[in-house]
Amino acid sequence: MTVLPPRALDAGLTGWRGVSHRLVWVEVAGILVTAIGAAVVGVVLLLIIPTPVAGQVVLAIDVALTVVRLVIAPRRVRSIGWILRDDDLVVRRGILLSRLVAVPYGRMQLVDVNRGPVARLLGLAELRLVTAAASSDVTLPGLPEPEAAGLRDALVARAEERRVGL
Amino acid sequence: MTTAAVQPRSRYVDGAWHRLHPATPLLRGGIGLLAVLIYVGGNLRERIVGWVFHLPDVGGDPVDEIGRHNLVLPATLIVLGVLLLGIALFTISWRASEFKIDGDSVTVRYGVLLRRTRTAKLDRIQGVTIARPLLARFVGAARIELDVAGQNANVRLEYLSNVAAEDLRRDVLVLASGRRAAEAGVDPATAVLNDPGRPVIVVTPGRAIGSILLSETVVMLVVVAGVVIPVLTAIGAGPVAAVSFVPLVIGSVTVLARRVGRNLRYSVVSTPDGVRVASGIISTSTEAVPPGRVHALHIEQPLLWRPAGWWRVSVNRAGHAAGRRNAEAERSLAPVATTEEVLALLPLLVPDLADSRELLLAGLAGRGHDDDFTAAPRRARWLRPLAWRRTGFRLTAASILSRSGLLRRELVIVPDARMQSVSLRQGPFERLLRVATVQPHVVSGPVRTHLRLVDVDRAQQLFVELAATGVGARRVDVSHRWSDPGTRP
Repeated sequence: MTVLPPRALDAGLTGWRGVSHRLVWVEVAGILVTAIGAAVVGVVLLLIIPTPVAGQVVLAIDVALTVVRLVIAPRRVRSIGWILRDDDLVVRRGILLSRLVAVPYGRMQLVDVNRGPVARLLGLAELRLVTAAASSDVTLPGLPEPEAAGLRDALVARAEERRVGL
Repeated sequence: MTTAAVQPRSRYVDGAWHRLHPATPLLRGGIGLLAVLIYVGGNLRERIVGWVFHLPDVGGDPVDEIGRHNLVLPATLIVLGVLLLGIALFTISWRASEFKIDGDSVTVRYGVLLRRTRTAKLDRIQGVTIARPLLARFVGAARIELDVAGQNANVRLEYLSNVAAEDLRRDVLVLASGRRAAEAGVDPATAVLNDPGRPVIVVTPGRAIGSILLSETVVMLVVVAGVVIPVLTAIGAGPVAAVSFVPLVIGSVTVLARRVGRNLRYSVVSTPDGVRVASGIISTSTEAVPPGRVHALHIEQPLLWRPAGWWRVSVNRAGHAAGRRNAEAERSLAPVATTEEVLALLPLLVPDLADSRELLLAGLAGRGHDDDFTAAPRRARWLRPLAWRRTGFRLTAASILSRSGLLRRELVIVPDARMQSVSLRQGPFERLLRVATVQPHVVSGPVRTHLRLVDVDRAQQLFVELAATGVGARRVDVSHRWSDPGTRP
């Protein structure tokens, strides 16, 4: 577990805990899958359209976007942080668009633990919190499996303790 | 209603199973039956007209063909058989559907092959709607819908007799609100039960029609008719334009007529059981909205309504938003209300806002730093060149007020106690201008609850405050059981 340094937009809270650096590989896998999908489209365009411009543009954009996304992937992973406070869980993420969400334990309706195929290979899991408000939508990816299970149990216990009406 | 003072509970609230109105099978199958009748009726009329005026028989009409082939008896039998079969099926399903209500839950069971039972806890009920479609009004029946939070989670009782439906609604609301009338014995509550309520909003016909005439749809139609069509005609595309204009007009007129129909006879009444909304002439619907079930409020004034001083009020409610088709019309709590009516309505829905007339007026029409609202900093004008002056927020003891919109004035109110979570966001442009967006999250609905253009330091502070007040407010909140004796302010 890593403790993150303070950042510009952290609402003055301290003690942010980071997620596993192995999450970078999950991100990279996702980026590559998208890149390959776009590359296939580009190649098909090259083959079926007589003038190669359309296909070349698609491939160029694909390569450029993929490089940018691969470069910032580690920073995106490092930007994810969470704090288990007395009454709520605060999650932050994002570089360009920063977002902080505080979910009070009493408002949690569900806690999901999801594991994708790549994450499972790396022993990671994603925690998802559901409240009655659709806009809450808090996901916390890149938790080592034991930690995710422990956090889920802690959240469920606290939610049970403080349950309130809608 | 006269018996209610003696016996506050209708005969359904006894924990035993009850059947629905006997006309239910006819009403539920009503549209099919009506279609058959209209078809047969239409054919008969043609035949009578033809017979009277000795019109030549051109053939091809199914009824004539049947007559010509001597199939009258079999055809009649088949039609009767289908009708009887349909009625029999509906009757079986009617016999299989029952409901019961006891002290703390409503249970409905229905279905013949696939039997379903649905139980809803009374204290989870978000509101009660009584609807009377046209056919049901002929036999004096009504449909009751108990709104429960969750996708498609409403409990429907269709159909009950009018009186039973009214009684049942009152009882369910009384039970749901934690006031056990029977246990309290001779309670002042029994007197309040018969209170017909105080009208808060009454939409006059003039306002109902005027508000529609000044709506965006009509303005768009006028612009199309007055500018686009002449221009197109001038350049020689007149016929094409006219043809494409016709469906637009038909569509818009249908929508507008429906809205006028809904707004006519529209009234909002304040009762001890909550706010009651009644509307419609042909199909009427009455809906009760308990306070404390309102998760967010949105009061807006389109530019054209400003001279008249009209406002539209919409709300986010758990259990109501999901799965409605004509959503916009369904969700506005008051489609058109005057400023005074809005000021009278808001304290009923958000008790915290009683005696804060000045504050609400500032929220509705104020701008800049002249009042208690925290205004957006001047540097934020690059993001909202017009609206930044009016953009601002204000925290009261138990709710969040956010105003915005210069041309279309808007005010959003979120009671702290209904906030589910809170977020703080900042995009690249916001970072350049050192502002951020704070959003209290509420159940989904038409109201968007963003507080935009907040100075970044204030925003971080606000985020922490809201996260804390949200938790604190909920611990003392009792408004979801608002009329428990002793907890009422």
